[in-house]
Amino acid sequence: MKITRDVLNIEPETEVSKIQSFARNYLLEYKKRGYVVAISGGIDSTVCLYLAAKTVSPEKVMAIYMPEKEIKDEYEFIIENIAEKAGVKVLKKDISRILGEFGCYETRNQSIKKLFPEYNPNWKYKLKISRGEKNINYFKIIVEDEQGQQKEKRIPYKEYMQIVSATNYKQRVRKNIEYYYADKLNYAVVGTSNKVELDQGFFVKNGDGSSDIKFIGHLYKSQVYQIAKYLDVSAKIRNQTPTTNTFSLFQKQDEFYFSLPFPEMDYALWAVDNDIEPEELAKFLNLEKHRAINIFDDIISKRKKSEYSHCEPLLIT
Amino acid sequence: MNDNDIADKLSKYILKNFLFAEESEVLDINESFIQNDIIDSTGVIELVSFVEEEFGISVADDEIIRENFDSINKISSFVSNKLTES
Repeated sequence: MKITRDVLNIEPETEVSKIQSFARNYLLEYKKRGYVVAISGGIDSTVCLYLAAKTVSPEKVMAIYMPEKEIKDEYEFIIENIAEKAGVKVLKKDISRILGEFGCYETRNQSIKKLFPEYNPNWKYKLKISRGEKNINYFKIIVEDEQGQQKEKRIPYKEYMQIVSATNYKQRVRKNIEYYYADKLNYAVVGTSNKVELDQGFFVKNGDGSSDIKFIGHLYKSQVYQIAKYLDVSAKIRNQTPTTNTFSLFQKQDEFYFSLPFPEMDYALWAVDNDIEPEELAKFLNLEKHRAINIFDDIISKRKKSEYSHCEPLLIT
Repeated sequence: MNDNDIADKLSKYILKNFLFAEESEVLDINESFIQNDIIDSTGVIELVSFVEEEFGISVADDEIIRENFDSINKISSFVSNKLTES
C-alpha cells in the first residue's frame, strides 16, 4: 500500500447513512428514546449533534453546552448558531460553581504557585508537551500575567499529576451532567471523540471518554471534516483551529498532546496502521527521516499508554 | 557517593514504587525501562523528580533523554556525573 493525499477520502453520504443505521439500532436495542450530545463549539461535537438530529427527530436530541469561567465567551454565539441550524434546543449549564466546590481551580492553582510563587488566579496558563529526544515526553507549563508576559517551566511529577487530576474534573463533571439528563429522559449519551483522539488516549477516563455510542470514533479528523461539509456545518466552525478548550490560554491540540498538527497527524496514524515505512511518511510529509521515526515511536507509545484509559474494570476469574 | 550507592538507591525505589516487589530482589541494571515496558513516560517524569530530590541535582530539559533515564545503569552514570560536576 502507498500513502497518497486521498487515502483518507470517504464517501460522506454512505458514511452518514452507516452511522445513522448504527445509531438507530442502538436506541432500538437498548430501548432508549433519544440522544444527549454535549457540544463545545468544535467540529467533532457539532458533527455528532447534526448526526443525532438526522437520525432521530431534533426534539429527541438534548444538546448541552457546559462552559466554565476559563472558556472564552465567544463560543456562546457559535453554540446558539449550531443548535439553531440542527433544529435542537440547547441547555446551557455553567459548571464553574461545581468545579469551584470540587476544588478544581484551587488545587490546580496551588500547584502552579509552587512553580511560580507570584502567580495569581487572574493569570492565564496552559500545559505544553515537550518531546525529549527519542520519545521521552514531559510537560511544561506556560503562565501569562496581566500584562501578557509569558513564562514557562518544566513541571515536576507531583505538580504535574495534581494539575492534570484537578483539570480532569472539567470533563468528569460534564459527563455526570450528561448522564443525569440521559437517565431523566431515557436517552443514550453520544461520545464525540474521533479516531485519532481515541487511539492516542486524548480523553479523560470516565470523562469525555465515557459514552454509550461513539458516532465518529472510527473516523480520522479529516474524515470528520468531510462529513461536516456534507452536513453543511458552517465554514466558521470548519475553519477553526482544533483547541483543547481546557486551559485559560489558547492552545492548539498538537501543542498539548499530538506529535503533529492536523491533518499531518491523520496521515501519520494512517501510516502506522497500514505498515508504511517511516521513510515513506517522511517523504510524503517532507520531514527528516529521524523525525518520522520519532513520530512512529510516539504514536505507538501513546497508544500503549491509552490502554489503561480504554480498558474495562478487571474481573477476577 | 559512588555509582553502586546510587544504583542501589534507584533499585530500591523502582522495586518499591514501580514493581511492588521486595527490596531484596535484584534488578538487571542494564535493562531498558521503556523497551521492557517497565516504565512509561509518566514514570520517567517521576524518576526525574526522584533523582532531583534524592541526590540534590538539577536536571536540564535537554537531559531528559533515553541515554540518561532508560536503565538503572544509565541513571546512575548520569547522576554520578552531575554530582562530580557540582
